[in-house]
Amino acid sequence: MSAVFRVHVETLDPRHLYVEGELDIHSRSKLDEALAEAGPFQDVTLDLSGVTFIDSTGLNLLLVADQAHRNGGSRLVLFEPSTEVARLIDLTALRPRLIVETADHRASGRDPGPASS
Amino acid sequence: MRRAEQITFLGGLTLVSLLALIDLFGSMSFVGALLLGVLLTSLAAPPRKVALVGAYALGWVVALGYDGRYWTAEHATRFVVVVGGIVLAVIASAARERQHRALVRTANVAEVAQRALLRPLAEHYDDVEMAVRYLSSSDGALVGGDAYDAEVTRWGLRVLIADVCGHGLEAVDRASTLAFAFREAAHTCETLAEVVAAMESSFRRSVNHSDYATALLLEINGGTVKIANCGHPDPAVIHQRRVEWLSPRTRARPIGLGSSPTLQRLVLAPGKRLLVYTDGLTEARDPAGSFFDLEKQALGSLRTGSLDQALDQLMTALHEHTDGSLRDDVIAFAVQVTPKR
Repeated sequence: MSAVFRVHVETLDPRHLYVEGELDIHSRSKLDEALAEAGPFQDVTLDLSGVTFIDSTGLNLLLVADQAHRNGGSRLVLFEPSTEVARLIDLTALRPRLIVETADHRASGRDPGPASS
Repeated sequence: MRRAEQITFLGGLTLVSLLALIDLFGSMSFVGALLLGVLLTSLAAPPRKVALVGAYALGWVVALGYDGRYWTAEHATRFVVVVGGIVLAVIASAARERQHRALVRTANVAEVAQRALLRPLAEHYDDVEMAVRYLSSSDGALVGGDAYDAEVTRWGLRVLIADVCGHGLEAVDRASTLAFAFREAAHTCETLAEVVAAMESSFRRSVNHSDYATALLLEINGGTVKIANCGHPDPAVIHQRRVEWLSPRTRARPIGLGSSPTLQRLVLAPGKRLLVYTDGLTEARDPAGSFFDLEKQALGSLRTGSLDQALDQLMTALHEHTDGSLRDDVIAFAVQVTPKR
């Protein structure tokens, strides 16, 4: 039951974090650290396709980070949220408040990220 | 506590007697070891009983040390050691009792304070019957990041079930902020939408930016139920053979993030039950990681028996599923309408 949680940081173009596993109270500090390293002054893409579980603590973290980036004049893009993440975002009607992008939606048509299927 | 006290008291007496008899009939001296019986008693018994066992042991020390003619210096030394040991054992026992009393007082204070947040529900209001179960994910706590309340107002019975982000004790202050805001607004606001607006502004004033709470509000009048769903998991109507999930036409944000729910209306016919819960219930996992199947469990537990029995069964099923370890707080609230004849 312990969280399988990994964060990859790609240094190409915008910073690209790939989150895999469970995003809840037990794992949020890891993502917190990764986001702090990137800082709120540049765009960061958070690939959420590998998130298997998210709870209110995880969603709260995304909201806080999103606000930090807005304050810093940058964007936090939630990329390809998994079914679980999308379900929570829609249940709470927060899609318009966050920046959510999917692979088909991307003008650049870049690779959707590692092992998302 | 009582039981431990009895066991250590009788155990101490037995140990003293046993060692004294070995000393009396054997070839080795066990006089100093009699102190072990006194120490055993002091583990859980009150000072009075420790002193009693001590006096008994001391009697044996005196009796065994005196061989009919005179006392040796060795015997006198043992006597002093045993007396010293008994005094220390009595002091230790008294200190332990004092700490225990302080702990009981603290626990009582904590319980009263927690009850102020989650008041027991009335079982009936006119022809509305309701029951609730609350489980905190924090060990030893009654409250957590979930909150419920029911208020009888001039607009009907108003109920709140809410879940603030985060869980356990760290979320208690946010949950109480929300519950108190509801308690006030339920009596002063004419519509559920206004209640939500009042809670929204009260909640935002007192929590961190981006903190939020999902909430479900009910207004029950006879068999008619109005529902305001603020980013909360869908409640369920339990029919005889199926479970109907009540999804709002448009989803509203949680409280704290600008919630403005559109009301749903429901006619709760006699024999049907409405179940409102927090996601701690549906996201409870078994040791292998699978979620609690609420639909199946609800059909199994909630259709028959009194509301209390039904919720007890549901909680038993939950307990079995999770093997007793909860990751998040849980509320299960059930309501039914039984028209009076």
